[in-house]
Amino acid sequence: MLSSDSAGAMITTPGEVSLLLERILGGDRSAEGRLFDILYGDLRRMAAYQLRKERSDHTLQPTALVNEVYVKIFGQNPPEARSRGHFMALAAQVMRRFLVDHARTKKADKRGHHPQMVPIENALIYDERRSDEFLAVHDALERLREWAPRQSQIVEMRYFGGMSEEEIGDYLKISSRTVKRDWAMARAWLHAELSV
Amino acid sequence: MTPEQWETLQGFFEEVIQKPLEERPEVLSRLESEIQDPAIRMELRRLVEHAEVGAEFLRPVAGLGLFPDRPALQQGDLIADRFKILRPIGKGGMAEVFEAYDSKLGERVAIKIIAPEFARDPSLLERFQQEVQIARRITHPNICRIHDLGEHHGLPYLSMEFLEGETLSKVLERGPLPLELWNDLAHQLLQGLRAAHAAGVVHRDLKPSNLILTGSRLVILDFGLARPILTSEDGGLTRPGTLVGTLDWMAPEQLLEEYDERSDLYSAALILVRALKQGSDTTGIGGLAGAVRRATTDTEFRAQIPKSLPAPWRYALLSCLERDPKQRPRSVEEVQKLVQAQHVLPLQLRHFAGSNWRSVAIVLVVLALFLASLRTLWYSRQKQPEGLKPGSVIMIAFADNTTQDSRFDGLTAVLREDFGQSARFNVWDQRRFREVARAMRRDPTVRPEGKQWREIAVREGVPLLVYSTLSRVGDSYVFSVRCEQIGASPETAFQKWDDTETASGPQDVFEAIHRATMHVRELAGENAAEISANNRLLQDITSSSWEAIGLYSEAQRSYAQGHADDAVSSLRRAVDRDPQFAMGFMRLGDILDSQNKVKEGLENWQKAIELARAQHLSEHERLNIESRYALEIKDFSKAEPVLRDWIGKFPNDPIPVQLLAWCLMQMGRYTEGVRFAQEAQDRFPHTEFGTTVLIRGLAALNELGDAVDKQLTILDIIARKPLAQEFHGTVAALRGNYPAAAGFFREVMLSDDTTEASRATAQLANLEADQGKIDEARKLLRDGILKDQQTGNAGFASQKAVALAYLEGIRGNHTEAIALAADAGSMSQYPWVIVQAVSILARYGSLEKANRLMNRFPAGVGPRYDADLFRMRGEILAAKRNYKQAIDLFEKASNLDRPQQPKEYLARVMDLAGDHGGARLKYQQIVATSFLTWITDDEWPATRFLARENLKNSRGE
Repeated sequence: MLSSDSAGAMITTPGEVSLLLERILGGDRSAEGRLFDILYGDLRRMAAYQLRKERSDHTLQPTALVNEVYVKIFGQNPPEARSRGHFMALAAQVMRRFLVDHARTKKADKRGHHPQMVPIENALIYDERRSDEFLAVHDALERLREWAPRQSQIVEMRYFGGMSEEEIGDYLKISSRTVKRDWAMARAWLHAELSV
Repeated sequence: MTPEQWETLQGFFEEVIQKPLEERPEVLSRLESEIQDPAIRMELRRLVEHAEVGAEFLRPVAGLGLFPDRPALQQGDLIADRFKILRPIGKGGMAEVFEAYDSKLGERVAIKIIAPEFARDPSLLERFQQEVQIARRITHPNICRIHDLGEHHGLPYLSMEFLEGETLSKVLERGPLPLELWNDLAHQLLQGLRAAHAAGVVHRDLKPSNLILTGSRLVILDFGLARPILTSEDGGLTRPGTLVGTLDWMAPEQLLEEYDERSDLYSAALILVRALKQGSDTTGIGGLAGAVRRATTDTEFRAQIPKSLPAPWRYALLSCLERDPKQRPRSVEEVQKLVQAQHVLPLQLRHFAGSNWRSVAIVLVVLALFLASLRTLWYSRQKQPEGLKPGSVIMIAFADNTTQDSRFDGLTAVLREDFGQSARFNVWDQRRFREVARAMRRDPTVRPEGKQWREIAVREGVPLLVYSTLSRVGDSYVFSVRCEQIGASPETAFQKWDDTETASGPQDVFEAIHRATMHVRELAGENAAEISANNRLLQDITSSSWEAIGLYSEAQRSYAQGHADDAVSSLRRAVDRDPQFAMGFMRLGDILDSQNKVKEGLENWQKAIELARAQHLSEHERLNIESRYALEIKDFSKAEPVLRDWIGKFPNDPIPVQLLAWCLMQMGRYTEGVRFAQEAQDRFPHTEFGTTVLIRGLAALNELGDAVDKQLTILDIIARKPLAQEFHGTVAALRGNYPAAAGFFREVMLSDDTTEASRATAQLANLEADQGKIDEARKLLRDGILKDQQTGNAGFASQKAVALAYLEGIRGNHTEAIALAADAGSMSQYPWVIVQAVSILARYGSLEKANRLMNRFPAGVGPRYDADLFRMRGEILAAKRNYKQAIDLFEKASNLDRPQQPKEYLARVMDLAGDHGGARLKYQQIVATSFLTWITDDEWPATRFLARENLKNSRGE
């Protein structure tokens, strides 16, 4: 089909994502398609990851989540992202928000349903049958944001966005050590909140 | 916890955590004795404990290691004892591609295998398999050849032609193509596309990264998203709300998930234009925004096409880039023909037009013949369908009445009703005609001709189009039907199903028509049992009087053109001619209601119901009448089972699905309602009604994100502009963007459509009042009433008058309020206006007027009307300070009323009766229902504003 030196949209040169993001920020919207093509696989994987516990007959498919990212991020203004890591974190956030909204409607769907307690790790993964737990994580993060916005953001970037400590530090203009410290604290707090 | 507390806590936390596990309890106890703030003290212990037990929490995630990047295949793997993997050559969204050696064929091949992470996604697997099935049907040098499908360790893969080269997107990064190369590649692209279309395949996702150049050969890749032409009905691979294709290269209609071969022409032309341009894209036509812009405005492509390109190419590209698919060339062959033309045809035509029309005619005839022969060639490769699938839609072109006898003008209506009996097939909704015409940028008042019907049918995906003619031969009549199967070859499209029946007199024409429809229904695949289950005499379904039917058709036409009064007078004559004409009474009731003649309207509805039950109406018509009447009188719990019955018996009819969605929402069952509305949008063509129902439902669920935007985009395309803007305005208001909302409403207020302009005035007044700008609202209403009176719209004037009366009342102008309410009540028949007028008259002490008005109200119609009666009696009792009984009556009313309706009356009287707690609760409910009340239009202005005020005041107590 394709030979390796010519895979076009499929093989990326180092730094290409940043370059494309720069072009997009500069107003060149044609770079969006290329960026999306390049990151599509990663976005798909991220979406599949967030939905991994889902049964196959679920109403949400990874494709829908990826399209949501496309529409949200490129829908109006160019994304304020400067690196691949940050773009992915942004995407993770969009997916997350979408799932939260989805969970809310599901919750509305089944009033009177009492959630069962499940291992807390499971609550981090979206499952439409257990929307309450999923929303609990979201709510906890929102609460944390009230007094510790940075920690809350770090959890979002690191856990849901898959950004490395260095990338987060770079983006938030803080040292990796601070990222590590904040992460440890936020993680303990989140665990405490969700274990009740 | 405050940020300061948290920071202090973090210091302590880290002090403990950096110690080894065994030392921590001691450090913790020491710190606890030092910390003054109990909140910090308790939180510290909790966090330290959880840092320990949750040490593995969130662990698996570090960098992108979250996503295992293990390739599906390794170098040296042997698949199916045949393909030896040589090396990876690429990675797409969901699949990986490897170069392999095929020992059986003795050549290199490419193996495309689904990435392990997606192997469990059924929609993907299905798509993958479809890719093979479709692509294997095509053998052409310009299309990547697919060999086989297999499975390796549970992962499906396919083997295909190995191509060495570069994608066009890569090539274009180096700059635009030289004209000679461009010309060569453009021809190859068209050749490939032509082969695919001939095999019945639309690519749907053409883009430069899907085109590969190997040597001087151009090959189209990736039919993963392609689908066979015109089988959207059994499709379903794409999830609802999921756009397929790549936005940058999509044709406008694909945004609406509609496409045919002309969508590929659009994408191909877009690629070709960009391949000629210096720089990748300076026009800002990328992304979703670009796709939407291309879909909603005419892009100036002309300027982007270099003048150096030969005129035929320029013309061909521009025609392929027409926003409306209908304006584009029909097929690749047509494009090729345009390109090969020595002169550009339209210029030639324009040139001839002034001098010699005969030459023009000759050119046209030759061209038509040529195109017809091309089409034959194309169609002949497609299989001739046998019968129609259940659920297929039959489109009935306006019947041709050549008898010069106007009494047969209702022929089309009769034919529609007769086909409408079938539970197996569905009749295309003629009311959709105006929407389609609008979407096709065609004048909706002009009747289409044969060829145009065909275009509509293709556009709507309707497989069978029925033309009919009634002619007179001496004393007898000849009725003939011609059935065209859309998608079949022109030679066979008309075969077999045509029928001619003769009748000896006008009454026998009914029988002739019925025989013809039975003939078609049978050949289309309905069996004898199905036919006999739904086989009423035409005279019973409609009327035995041709005159009545003719008048009915005339009324429909008048109404569609906005002449409701003419429609009413035609219908009155129709039911006068045939007092058994149920459909006539129903339509009459329907129109009268909308004209503020509710009382007379209800009488006609009741007559229709009576006849529907007594007569041998077709099942379809009976369900239609019964459900619509229940909806009309807002008896939703009665409507629901009838609508479900309708859906059960006629599962392919979109109307009951849309009506049920609406009905459920009215009962407060929004999630269910939205599900049905969404189903209707997914399964049937988009209609104005269906789209607005879905938008309202989404709003009621507070889902104001992209789902709503998508529906608004659809509305922009299919609906009247003022209506679409009104919806934009309301959505903006619900999103809290009041200036934008006001902007939309103001624009609608300037529209020529007086109905919409009047509604927008009321909505803007509501918006202002809701924000506490009572005086602005009053002014808007006052001006609005004058305008309504000028345009003769007494109903709307009365609605505004009662709203204004309410605002005057809360401003303390009681005399003014009474005068306005009395006026509104006397000129209106709308139940809501009368109820509100009575309420205002009663509360400001004009009890006698209130009583008189109340006595005009129809009793015993249905629960909603009873609720209104209870309310009015309650208002009068409350005015007499008999609060206990008033509340009793209000409670009764409230139980019968729609759940989402704000119960302002109950809150107010509870407050008066001294039950402040109860009132508070009601006010809170009112404030919380802001997203729900859009479902009901009848609401006081400023209801929520006042509720908020009341809550504020009660908090102050």
